[in-house]
Amino acid sequence: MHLTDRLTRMLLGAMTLGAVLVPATVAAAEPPGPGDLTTPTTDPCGPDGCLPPEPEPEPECPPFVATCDDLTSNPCDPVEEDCSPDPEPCPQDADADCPDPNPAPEPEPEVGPDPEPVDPSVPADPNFTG
Amino acid sequence: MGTHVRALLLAATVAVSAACGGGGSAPADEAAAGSPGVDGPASTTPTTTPTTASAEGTTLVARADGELAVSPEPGAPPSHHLPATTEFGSPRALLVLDEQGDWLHVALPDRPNGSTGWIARADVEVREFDERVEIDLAARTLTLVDGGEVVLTTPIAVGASAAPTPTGAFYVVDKLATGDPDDTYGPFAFGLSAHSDVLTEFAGGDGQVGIHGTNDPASIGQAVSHGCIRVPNDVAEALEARLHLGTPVTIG
Repeated sequence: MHLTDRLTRMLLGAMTLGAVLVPATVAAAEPPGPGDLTTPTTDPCGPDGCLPPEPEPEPECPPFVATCDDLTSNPCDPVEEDCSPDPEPCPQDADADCPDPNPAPEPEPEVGPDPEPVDPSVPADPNFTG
Repeated sequence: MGTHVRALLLAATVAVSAACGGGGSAPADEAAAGSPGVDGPASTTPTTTPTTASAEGTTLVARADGELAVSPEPGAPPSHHLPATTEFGSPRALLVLDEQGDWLHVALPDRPNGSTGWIARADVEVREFDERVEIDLAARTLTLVDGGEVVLTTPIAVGASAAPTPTGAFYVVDKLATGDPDDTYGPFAFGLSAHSDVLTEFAGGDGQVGIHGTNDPASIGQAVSHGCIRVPNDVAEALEARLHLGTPVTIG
């Protein structure tokens, strides 16, 4: 085979392969024609007058659960969580002072009790200056 | 608290009987009628008068459970000790005059009248009360004030000219029941921190002045006693329910 023939065949083969690999061109959308309605052209008010506009539905709040790691407020459904730190665990050492989880309230200032009544069963013999 | 009972109304009944003798061993030569130089009555119609007024102040009282060391100055070595109880067995109660750090300035129930000392706060329990007693010797009246409100005013008998009732700021140190309304001291007697300026002994005691009932209601309103303050017996019963150990008693 002559060199010219071989080159010709290779060239033809490459052209055939390129025709297969080239993607098909998508046809461009055609612009809307006069029959396509993109805006209402009819009168919204009927013969009985205009209807009141329908109320807009309230936006639905997505489910929200705040966590102590993410306290992002949710105006729709605020969630309050107790994010106080967990109490320190009491050490296992029996001799250690473990804080009382329910401490007693502070005592009120000492206020005198009612007067101590005199015990009449033990009569006294005063010797005051009469 | 329960110490604020108000508007106690009393009616003092006056009858004529023998004068208070005080045990029959008075060192002073009292008149045969039992009066050491009887002064004229201040009121011939002794009645208890409930009134309303306002005053101020609460009282701090130190209560001791044991023998109490008394120092002349805060932090100084004790000069003497007070027994845990009085002669009559009452718990030791001292009127607090001032506070300075860990020390309390207290009025002492000792002679001379007006004696004071310092005690360690750690040695006592401090209580707060609202009651006080005011005695007007000239008017011969006793007024009980609770939280600034006058609870009662009653006519009283006071010391005669020969044994006048001492004046000053004192307090109750004893509450005693005689067990007999017809006793010389009536049903109840309240020993004060005051002592007679004239009598150093009386009926075996050291001339301690007290507030007490009487078996001589006719003496009420007069200056006939040996220095004590006599009140109608129903008033003595009312005071038993209102006076604390440590209640201030001002005599003037």
